[in-house]
Parts: sequence; C-alpha cells; structure tokens
Amino acid sequence: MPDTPGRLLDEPLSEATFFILLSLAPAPSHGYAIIKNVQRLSDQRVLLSTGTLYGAIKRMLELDWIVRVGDPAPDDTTRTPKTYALSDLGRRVLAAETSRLRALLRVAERYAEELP
Amino acid sequence: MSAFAACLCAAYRLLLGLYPRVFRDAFGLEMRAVFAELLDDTARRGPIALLAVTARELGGLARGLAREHRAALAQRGSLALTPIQHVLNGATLLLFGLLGGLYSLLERYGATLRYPLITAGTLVCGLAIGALVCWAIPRRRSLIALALFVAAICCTQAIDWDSRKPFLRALGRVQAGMHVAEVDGIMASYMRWPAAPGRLSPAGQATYRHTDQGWGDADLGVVTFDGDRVVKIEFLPD
Repeated sequence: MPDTPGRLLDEPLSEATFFILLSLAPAPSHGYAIIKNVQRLSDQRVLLSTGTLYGAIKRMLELDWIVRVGDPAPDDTTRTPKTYALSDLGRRVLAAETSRLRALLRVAERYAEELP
Repeated sequence: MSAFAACLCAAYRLLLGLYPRVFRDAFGLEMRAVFAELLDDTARRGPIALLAVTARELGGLARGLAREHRAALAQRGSLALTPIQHVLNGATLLLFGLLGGLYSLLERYGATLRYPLITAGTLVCGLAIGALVCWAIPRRRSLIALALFVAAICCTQAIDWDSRKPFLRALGRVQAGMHVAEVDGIMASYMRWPAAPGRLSPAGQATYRHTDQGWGDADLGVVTFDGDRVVKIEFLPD
C-alpha cells in the first residue's frame, strides 16, 4: 500500500521533480541520461535545462530522495559521470505522488462521466 | 565539437562561476559535461536547435543562480529571519539612512566643519544603533550596514564636494587677534569686500566669498576687526 501524499509530502511535486524521480525508478542514471529520459517520458513536454536539473538533484539529495551511486574517491580525477539512484524514501515519495495523481484522475473521470 | 559550440562551452563555464562555491564544487564539473554533451547532441539538428537549447540553458542557469544564491543566503541565516527581525532589519537601515541624511544636510551648511562634535555625535549614534541591533539581527548584516554608514560619513567628511568646505577650513584658521594682513593671506584665494587688501568696510569688517554664484552658494565669511585686530569671525551660510 503506497503512502498517502499527506504523510510524505507537504505539497505536490513539481512536474520536473516528478519526472526526474520517475526516470530514476527503473535504474540509476547520470545527468544527461536523466534529461533525455524526462524528455521521453513526458513526450517532449518537459525539457530540463542543466541548471534546473542540478538544482533539483541538489534538493533531492538533501531530502534523501536520491543518492549518488559509485561516488568517486576524492583523489579520483577521471571524468566518469556520476550516477544517481532513487533511495527507499524517494521510491515512497514517488509512489505517494503517483497515488495522489491517480486519485485526482479518478475524481476528474467521475466528474467527466457525470457531465451531460 | 565546432568552434561555436566550444565558445558556448567556455561561456557556460564562466557563467557557472557565478554559482555559490558549495554548489559549484558539488555539481560544476558535471554540469559542464552535461552541457557539452547536450550541445554535441543538438549540433547535429542544426543551428536553430542549437540556439534554442542555448537559450533554454541560459534561462535555466539564470533561475538556478537566483535559487542557489537565495538558498546559500538562507543557509547562512541572513534570510532566515523572524518577522520581528525583518522589522528590526528594516528599521536599522532606515535609522542609518535618516542619520546619514541629517548628517549630509548639516555637512551641506558647513556645520560639521565648524562643530566637529556633530561628526563625533553622528558616529556615536551610528555605533549605538549598530550595537543595539547586533543582538537582534544577524551580526554580520548589522556590522556591514554599520561599516557602510561609517565609511559614508568618513567619505563625506574627507571629500571636498563643493567650494564651501575649503572656504570653511580657511575661515576656521582665522583667529581672534590676527592682523588684517594675516587674514588676507589666509583668505587670499577668495573674493573680498572691500576689494583692496588691507582695507576694511566702514563697520570695520572684511567680507569673503568662495564663489560668485547666486542662490544657494552665496555664503559669507565676515571678519570683524577692532583697529587692525580680529575680534569676531562669522560664517553666514546662504
């Protein structure tokens, strides 16, 4: 049973944040791949800029929704892209938001059916 | 990568320097790499696509800069103020502004040169305001406001922003008991009435002016003599 939004989230996720979490759900990913995944998942509707992406990544790291995986050692000078993965908390947040959106959709569909 | 894309990357790298250091250290390299990859990918779709992506990136960068600087400030406690602290903060700036305004008005009429206590009093008031609010608002912010205030007062004091200030300094050197010739020597670079050096008016006075401008600058320095000795020095501001 997914968490209810009220328990995990103070307010609905922004579309960009939702799609970033969604793009990380199947597997860890690095920055450029996240931008591309978000484009694909949103049918080219959400086009993230690098600044927006890393601002969101920073906030999600602070909230422990995502984690850096395979963080290089401090003396590692290679340019291997850093990858990010959903944490358990991030998965629960994503599930809660999905549940909220699903509930919204149900209300909207019911309302649409009642329209003459 | 084309020369144009390389230039864009260099410009992007420079702009990244505007981010707060903590953010730059954590994500700067990655952002540069992602931007370069994005340009590589987009360049194949032609110059219009490249420009569109660049415009989107610049927009994202500008929003990100504002957001990260705001976050950095909030983290340092400068913006994380309670409503009372916000009010105190505003009141402090207002008090400094009023005090500075009052001081510059007094300065305009030469009062600060004639009465150094006014400058000292203004600085003491500023220090007292600064000390009072230090406990209530972030210390760094109140100290910066105080330092700016003190610097502004010192600049106002030090800079001759009109001809009245050097005139007042010269008039201030005239002392009771001086001879007419000594006074004329000190005030040599100013207009005199009666015009001939050494001569005095029927009332036994020599009047000096620092400018022939009319309204607003027609200050008079009036030196009264008894015999050929100074007995009274007056500054009559316009």
